Amino acid sequence: MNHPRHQLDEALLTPVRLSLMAALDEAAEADFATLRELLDVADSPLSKAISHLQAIGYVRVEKRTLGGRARTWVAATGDGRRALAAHVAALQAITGGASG
Amino acid sequence: MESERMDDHDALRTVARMRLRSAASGRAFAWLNLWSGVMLGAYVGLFATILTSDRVDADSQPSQMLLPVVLLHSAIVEGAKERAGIHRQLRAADIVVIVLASVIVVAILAVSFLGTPAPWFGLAAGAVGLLVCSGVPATRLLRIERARRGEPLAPDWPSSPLSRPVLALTLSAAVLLGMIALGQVGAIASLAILVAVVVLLFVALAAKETAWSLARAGLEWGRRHWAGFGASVLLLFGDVALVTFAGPQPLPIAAAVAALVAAPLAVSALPRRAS
Repeated sequence: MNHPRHQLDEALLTPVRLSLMAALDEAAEADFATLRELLDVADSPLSKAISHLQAIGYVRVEKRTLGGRARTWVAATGDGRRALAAHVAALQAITGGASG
Repeated sequence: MESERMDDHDALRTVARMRLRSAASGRAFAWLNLWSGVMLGAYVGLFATILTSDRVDADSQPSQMLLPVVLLHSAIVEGAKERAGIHRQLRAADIVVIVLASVIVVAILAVSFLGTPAPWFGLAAGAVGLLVCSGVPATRLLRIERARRGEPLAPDWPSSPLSRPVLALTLSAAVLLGMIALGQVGAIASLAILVAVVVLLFVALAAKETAWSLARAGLEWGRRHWAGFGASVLLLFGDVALVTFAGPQPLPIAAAVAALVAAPLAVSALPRRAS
């Protein structure tokens, strides 16, 4: 049970969720359209990823309207940032610190 | 794609790439922050210079004329901030620098009020304000540019045609800036125009949730419109400085200056013919 593979976070094993958390790690918050561009994904998989991460408390979602336009903003929570850091540390331990 | 499992090396590469792309985005808003910092620094400097000068004409109130410009700018930037797509938190070091600079500016102004008013107090306060207001966003822009290396450059806020409400708001803002310039003719005209300006701004801010809000302009303005706004504000600040030290202008000259102030923003808003 000591193998670093056991430290991997199940929620971050898919590309979209992992990319989403990595993108949010560098920002206070980001809007849905910007995340869609950054991740280069369609609306549906991004929505599913956000919903999943929101359900487990890794991100929080806020809808705001300004100038007659509604936007959805997503931010990583403290738990989400810590989970990403632990997941990346486990990946580095497994791969011997190599990223490519 | 959502359910597929990644190779560990791919996962690490993905994290590194996404962090880089995220850090590199928001370049346009960083430039806007830099521009706003320069404007705010110029405002602090001009306001402080006016307050500490003993050459200001008692009948003119140029310092009052600057406040609506800052209110207008803040309301429009609020929309631009929403357009930015990514918001970043200020670093602890940036907050320390801003707090220290604010204390220095207030201290300089306090000393100038307690002692003999001298223009250099205002210039010193303005220099500190300008340095910090533009220095903090400049360092952020440098960090973004450093992070952006190797990443393709996304188009930064192209100047698309404005919606009808924003076109009307932009032309109104141009007229408003011109009115502020015209308002320096005399104390009564200043007061009347200041009241009109405040009412206009109040109405525009009250419509925050609608397509007629100033924030909507911030959502739509491109590089051309920001450049036009910057030129108009620069001309207005120059005019305020001139009136402060040379006294109120005769009406024909003030009207010509008002038209000159309004022109850059108004022209930037006009639709371009497709080539």
